[in-house]
Amino acid sequence: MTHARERTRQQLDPAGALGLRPATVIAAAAAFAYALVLTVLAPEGMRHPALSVLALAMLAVSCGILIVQSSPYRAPLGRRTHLLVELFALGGVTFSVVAEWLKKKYIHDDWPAVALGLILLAISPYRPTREVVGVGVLVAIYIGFLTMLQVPFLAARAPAVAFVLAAVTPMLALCLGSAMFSASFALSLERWHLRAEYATKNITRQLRAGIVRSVQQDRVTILNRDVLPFFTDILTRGQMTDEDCARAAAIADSIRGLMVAESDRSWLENVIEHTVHGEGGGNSADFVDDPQRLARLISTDQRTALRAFIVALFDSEGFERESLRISFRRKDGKCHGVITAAVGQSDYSARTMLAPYFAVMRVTFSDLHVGFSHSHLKLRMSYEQQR
Amino acid sequence: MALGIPAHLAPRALSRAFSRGQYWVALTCLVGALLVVLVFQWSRPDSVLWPAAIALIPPMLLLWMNGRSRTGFSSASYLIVGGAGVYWYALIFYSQSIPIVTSDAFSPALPKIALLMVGGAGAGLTAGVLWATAGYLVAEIAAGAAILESGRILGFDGMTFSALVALLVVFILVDVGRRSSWRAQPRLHRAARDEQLDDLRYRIEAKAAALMHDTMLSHLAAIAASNPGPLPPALQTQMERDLEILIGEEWLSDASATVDAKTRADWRSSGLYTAIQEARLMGLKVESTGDLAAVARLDRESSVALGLAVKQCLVNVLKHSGTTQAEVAVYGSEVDVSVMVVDTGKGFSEAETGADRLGLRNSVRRRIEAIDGTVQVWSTPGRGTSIMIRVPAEGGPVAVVRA
Repeated sequence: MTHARERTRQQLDPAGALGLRPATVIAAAAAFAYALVLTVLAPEGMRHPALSVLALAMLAVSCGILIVQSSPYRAPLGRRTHLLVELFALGGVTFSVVAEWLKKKYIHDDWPAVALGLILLAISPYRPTREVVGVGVLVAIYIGFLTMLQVPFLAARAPAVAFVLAAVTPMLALCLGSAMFSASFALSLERWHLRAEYATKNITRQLRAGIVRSVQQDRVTILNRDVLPFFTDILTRGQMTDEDCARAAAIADSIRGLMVAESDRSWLENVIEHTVHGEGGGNSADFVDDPQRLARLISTDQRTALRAFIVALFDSEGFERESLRISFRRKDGKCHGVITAAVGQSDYSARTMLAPYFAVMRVTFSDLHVGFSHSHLKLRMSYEQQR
Repeated sequence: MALGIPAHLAPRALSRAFSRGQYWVALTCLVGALLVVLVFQWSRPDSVLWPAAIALIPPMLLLWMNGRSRTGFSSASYLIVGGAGVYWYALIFYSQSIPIVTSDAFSPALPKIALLMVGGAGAGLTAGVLWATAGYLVAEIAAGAAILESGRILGFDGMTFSALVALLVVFILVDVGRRSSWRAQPRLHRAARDEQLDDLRYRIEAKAAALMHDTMLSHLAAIAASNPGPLPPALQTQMERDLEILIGEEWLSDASATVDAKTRADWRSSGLYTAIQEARLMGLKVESTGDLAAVARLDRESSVALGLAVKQCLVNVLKHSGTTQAEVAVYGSEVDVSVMVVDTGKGFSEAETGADRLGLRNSVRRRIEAIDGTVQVWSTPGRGTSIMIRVPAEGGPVAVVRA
């Protein structure tokens, strides 16, 4: 299935965003660890342990969702997931304040600001800058409000605004810093995409004349074989015989057959044959099962992702190329594709090696399912018919 | 396509992004520190805290300059001026007896953190780590000097140190992550380029196949269906003309896309007009209706392809529908030009059409798809056929699908 692409690092550069996943996992884990340490080591002890545990549990759920959903196999991380992450985190914050109500003496013992700042830092490669900044500001207002409520019970006497500033500034700094980091990289990516597009257009323009000549030569070769001698002969004579009519029908059938075969070939069969050609030859029909010719309905981005994946698969060590099967079927108004292959290496190493391609495919086919079992890979995807 | 930045450009882009992120962290910290000063000054009018606010102005200016043009000089200047600002800020805060400072660990950490977020010049992990460490050292030395000057005991500032560690961890993780995605990027770039070239080849082949069908295959079919005897003059002329074109010219090269506005505005110079005229010469009664001038919004290539596709539709009416009448209706919108070819003949079922019947497939559908248009066919046996061809107008959206 295709969908409108958002201006996020994950959707502009899925393979690159995959490299940020460890940072996301560590930041989310650090947010929980920080809250856990401050809760356990609180000098005043826990006033309502059950509520404190509940607060930590909600934060753990928030961080857990973030870690799980930032996986390349679940990309892209959407607005709904972000909302869920923030709601659980804010729930945790609320319970933490209630748990320590009237007991907290020092604002620096509070974990919400830093923990939420880390969560926003972790989520920034996956969501648009405006959304991250907007959520950051709303969270800051909420934390500021909770801080204001606690000020009368704190040990130090100072203006409430000073405590609010102390509480929200680190969170806002983390939020703005990470959002602007992602925005700047997204801008660089977009500029690069424009340059790449321009360069590709230039290359295509330069190669066009050569391709035109090659295609025309192919056609002229076909014509030279039968059609030209036949037409020249008939034009010279100016007469048609029974044999001429029969021969015209035979030539027409032969050319029509060639054209039908050509017309039935899909881009996928071309990719397979080009790739297999480098591996010692082979027939695309051995690999592709597409009786309804549904491969032709895949969009350009999806085709590019699939092409890169197939090439990577053929280049991977241990891949048993005879095991590759790509099939397409139509069901419930949608096209469904299944790719199976024996990867010839451990599931873990194959998964790691192919992860960047899965990341890109996940963004282009949003319902891509990746399964590994005993060195066998199974990909399932679906897409809308484009026309 | 979702492509990453190539390996040789990535360090610079990453460094620029880090610098931007650090700039905003630093700015937030400095603004936060400034607001703290103003709040305390407002709540304690008897204290002299306002000079701490002034101490933050020069680092802010230098931060702005460093953010605008990141050079070694601007980064070093920010560190020097920022160090002086931190010293002044800390000295004023620690010289006053402010409860929050002593009891709630409210230290001058904010301007110190702003200093280690220098986002200095140069690309790569080493440059980032060195500038951040330099910023940390300058901030700690400046704050330490201020603490000693104010007669307080020098202590460890966990907040600033944590910020440094977090920054270095992020630097390392992002750099490692970037390296791990290197191996996939060239293959993705190659795939995108190959896809473009395949698409170009496909379009050219579609055009060639359609022309072959319209010319050679059509003549062969005409001969096959003829009775022995003299070659009909019309067929002879067409064969001679097509042979000359197919052998002697670069018939696949683009027709000039630049046609003057006057020529384009005249619908009689369009491919569609030519198609209708040629069909009329073949004996078909064609009624043209609708917004005929809309075809002027097509570029040369689309106009030619549309004309050839409509001609094939009209030829099909003549050959297969059992009627000698057809209607060609043109509709224009901002984004596309639609042409409907309607006949009231015997109709057909597209699914049951023989696989070797290439007219609709190659000369209409594939030809129109190669210029990013669409073809829809409605036909019921016994009740006629309607074929809708939509072609994007110049500047209209493009939908790309091909076999």
